[in-house]
Amino acid sequence: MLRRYIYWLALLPCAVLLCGCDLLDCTGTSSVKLRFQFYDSSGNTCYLPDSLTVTAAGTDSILLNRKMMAYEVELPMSYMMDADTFLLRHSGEDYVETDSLIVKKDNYQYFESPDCPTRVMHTINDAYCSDEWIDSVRIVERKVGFEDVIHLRIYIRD
Amino acid sequence: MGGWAQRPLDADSAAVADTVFYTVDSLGIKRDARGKIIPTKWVEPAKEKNYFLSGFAFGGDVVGLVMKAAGSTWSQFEVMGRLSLKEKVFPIFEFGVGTSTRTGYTTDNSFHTSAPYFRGGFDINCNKKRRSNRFMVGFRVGYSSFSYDYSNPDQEDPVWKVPAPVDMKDLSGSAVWGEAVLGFEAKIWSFIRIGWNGRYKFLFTKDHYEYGQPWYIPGYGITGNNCWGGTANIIFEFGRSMKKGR
Repeated sequence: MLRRYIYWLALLPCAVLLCGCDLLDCTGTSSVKLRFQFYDSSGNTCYLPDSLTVTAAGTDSILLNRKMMAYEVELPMSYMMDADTFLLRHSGEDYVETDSLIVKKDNYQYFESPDCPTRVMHTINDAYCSDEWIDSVRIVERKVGFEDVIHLRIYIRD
Repeated sequence: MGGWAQRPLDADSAAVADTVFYTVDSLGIKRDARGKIIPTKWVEPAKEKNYFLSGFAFGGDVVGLVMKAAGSTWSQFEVMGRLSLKEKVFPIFEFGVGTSTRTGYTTDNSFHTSAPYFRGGFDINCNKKRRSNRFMVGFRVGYSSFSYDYSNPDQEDPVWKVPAPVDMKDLSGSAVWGEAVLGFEAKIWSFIRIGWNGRYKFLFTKDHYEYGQPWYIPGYGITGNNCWGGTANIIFEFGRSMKKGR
């Protein structure tokens, strides 16, 4: 008689062990980046003829270091600031041109699990730039999230 | 061929002296174990009436207590009540409170929630024995409406090197899910029973804050499309099952 009850009791831990679930995978490798492409004055995509270096204004962070023949660029955005200022330095053998690209935005913190890093997504409100070697900026997609899309078109001077 | 017959106290009495087993010989005469003929006035005992509502029970889950004692990052405290229909079908209602407080292993992100949940459904006893051990198969529908918090006060922007704390309070969420249940139950003594069951859970609907889902849903478990769970119950059942028998 007693053995029967011990048998049932021995099965109790099974109920505890069963308490498990599908674990979430962090969106992980996907990153939230601002993406833009360069366009010439005729409205066609183009490569920059020389190297491009991008830094975040107010920091010593180099976001892109001497990229040759840049065609498309990805940049991280700040988590909490209302506007990000990027310094785009285009340089060749005998010249250096620097323009500021200012992107105004709203920020949305995004989380999946305590084990996943918090991501911040953005909605671009406005974008403009100085005019040393860049002619103008046009917003193509305002939402900056995990999607791999182009957000800005940067038209360069001839 | 045979059966049970009740012997009267005396020839003219309706009172029963005892119940004996009989066999029927080739002439169709009923005889007891010693070969004595059983008079035709002896009556066979009436079958026990099987009432539609044959009892009720309440109980509590001990898995949540074990998980809490073991330091689990989530646990739930649950009680249940059920009816017994013909000692075969058991409509059941479960109520509990689920809590979770957790900080990530590789991050400083913290999640917290504490909210009630409800489940309704039924169990069916698939064992021929109705009063002793039972083999239960059942189904539940669960619901919880809850609020949850996410925080990380020390987070810093990795590029701009400025503080970017996370402090999200009282985000609201709700979920409806189903559970397929498989369980066993043993009668310990009279109205005291123990039972455990395993549950396969699957979400029907889930609503939450657009930019962040809850890590844990009270009553369901850690958020995912599918989930395993289980309870181990101490049950107090009153009614016909308290009687001896199978």
